[in-house]
Amino acid sequence: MLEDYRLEFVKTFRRPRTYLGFVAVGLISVLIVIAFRYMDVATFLRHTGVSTFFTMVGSPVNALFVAMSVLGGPMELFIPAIVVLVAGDLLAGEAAEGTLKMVLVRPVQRTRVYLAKFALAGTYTVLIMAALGLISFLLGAVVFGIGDLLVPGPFLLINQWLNLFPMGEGLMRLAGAYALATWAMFTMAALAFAISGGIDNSNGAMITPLVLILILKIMVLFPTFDGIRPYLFTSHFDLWKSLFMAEVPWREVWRSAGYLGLHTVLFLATGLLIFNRRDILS
Amino acid sequence: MQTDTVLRAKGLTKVFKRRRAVDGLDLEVSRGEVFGFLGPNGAGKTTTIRMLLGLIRPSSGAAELLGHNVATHHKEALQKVGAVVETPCFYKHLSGRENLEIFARLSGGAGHQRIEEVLELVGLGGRAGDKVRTYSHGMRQRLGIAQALLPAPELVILDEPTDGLDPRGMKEIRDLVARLARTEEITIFLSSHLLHEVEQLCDRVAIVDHGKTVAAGKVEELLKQSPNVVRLRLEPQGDAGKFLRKIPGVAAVEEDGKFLRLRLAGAEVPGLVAECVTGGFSVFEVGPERDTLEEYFLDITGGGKGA
Ligand SMILES: Nc1ncnc2c1ncn2[C@@H]1O[C@H](COP(=O)(O)OP(=O)(O)OP(=O)(O)O)[C@@H](O)[C@H]1O
Ligand SMILES: [Mg+2]
Repeated sequence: MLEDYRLEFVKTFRRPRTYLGFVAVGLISVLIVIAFRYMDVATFLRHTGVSTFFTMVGSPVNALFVAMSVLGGPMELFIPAIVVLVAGDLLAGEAAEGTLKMVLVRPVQRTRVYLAKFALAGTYTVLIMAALGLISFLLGAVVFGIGDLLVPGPFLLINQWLNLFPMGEGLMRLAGAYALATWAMFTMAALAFAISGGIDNSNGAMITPLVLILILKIMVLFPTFDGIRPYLFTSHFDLWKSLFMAEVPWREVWRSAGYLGLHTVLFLATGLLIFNRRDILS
Repeated sequence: MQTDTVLRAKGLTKVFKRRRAVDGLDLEVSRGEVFGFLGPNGAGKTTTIRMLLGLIRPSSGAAELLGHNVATHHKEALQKVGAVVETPCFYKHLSGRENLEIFARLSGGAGHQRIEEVLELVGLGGRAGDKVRTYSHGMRQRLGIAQALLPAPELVILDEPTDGLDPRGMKEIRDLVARLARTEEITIFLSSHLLHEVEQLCDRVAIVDHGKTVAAGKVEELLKQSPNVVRLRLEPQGDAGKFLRKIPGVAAVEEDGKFLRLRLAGAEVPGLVAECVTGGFSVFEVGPERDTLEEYFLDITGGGKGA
């Protein structure tokens, strides 16, 4: 099994396009640092109502703040897209290239090929998230320095509120948030990967999951669908935000994490069932 | 397990939507044979091979390789089998040798020595370090065969290995296949739509069309059944046709410019020539009609001009 995984690792990381994701993650970090550098963050926060009770001296922007902010927007679509680009290509890409038939006429079990490849999708997700955190943190440290973590209420959709964590605690919370965000991206990877096992072109496996989360995200904007909102896996993608609340609602965090994990397993199992039964015709 | 039948198909059937691509096909290949699987385009050769290798599920019927059922014991069945289905495909961003390293691991770990051996065997030694992206079609075919040889196979299954190659490339591959059968003692199952290729390489052959076997047996025996047509040039030409038609054992005579094409049914060439000479004709040329085999093949597969 380890050997199968190693093979997949070599195949993927010898391919230049694998590194596009890391370049993209780097770019996003650079962009957010530039934005913060030339934006008057204190005034901006005052506008959002945060600073009515406080007088801000200096800027709250530092490495921790940057690393937290970079999760905000990009987690909606950008990071899922990067993950899906690789996870959706793993099986469908090989089917399209014709190498899948070469692999599957060797004495290998399809289940093992499938699991080794998903392990790689998971690894890639972890690496992308780690790269996002590290690059944004380091860039933030170089440009703004480090310090305590200020969490503006609006970031968590809470008005008239802010929280200040001492640096040590801020770092712990950041690490936890990245771990939870990674966990959510596993679900995304599993969905794309499962689709990838059932079709012969990777475009379908990349685009379908992204279109799906877009539809679900748009759907929940309408109050009509409030009832089903908690049941959609996409609604739990921002569970990492809870780690920046003053009191972390652990029960809800675990429930969301469990719900996402359940989806990951469900997607993977369904995908495996299909992959094991399907005809390889390419 | 040592078996004498290394490949067996029993009632193999595949239905796509409503088309029966393969229809109750039976095959048996014995150890040491070079077996030809002959059929025109769309006959169901590739579909059969995909079922034999477990890439697709038969709608009904079963396939066995080296005594193991492919559907239930995939791993055991394929352990000592090398195969190329249609055009061989590789990781184009990796070199030929790196590709073989990957397939070697999947084949249960053939060592570096074996990799160099098979590269040498197919004559790719010099280019093995180049990226597959830069390989010609012929080189990829050879790399495909090298890949099939990695597990030191007892059986090699090749799907139209000369397809799309120029005459020299074809000859190289055929020589290679013949050498594998002779010196490496590998049983070979080879599909082709070229009769002369099968005639040249194979001991036994099954001819398929529309997913069914239409003829099977030893190559020489099948060839014996094919109509024996000779080309003849006689002088004087005028009455030759009329004269030949009267000879017993001559089924049909066709005039073709200076030549006469005779379909023999019982008559043999030496006797025929003697008759002509006694009849006062000078025999300038006599030989087998080159296209006969192809025509026979087309006849029985229903693709020809009609007999
Ligand atoms: N995926 C598919 N869906 C539907 N029909 C298919 C599929 N694959 C093959 N067929 C049909 O099955 C029949 C047999 O095809 P197959 O590829 O096995 O023929 P072949 O003998 O290998 O031909 P060729 O010499 O052209 O390679 C054809 O009629 C083909 O159209
Ligand atoms: Mg074919």
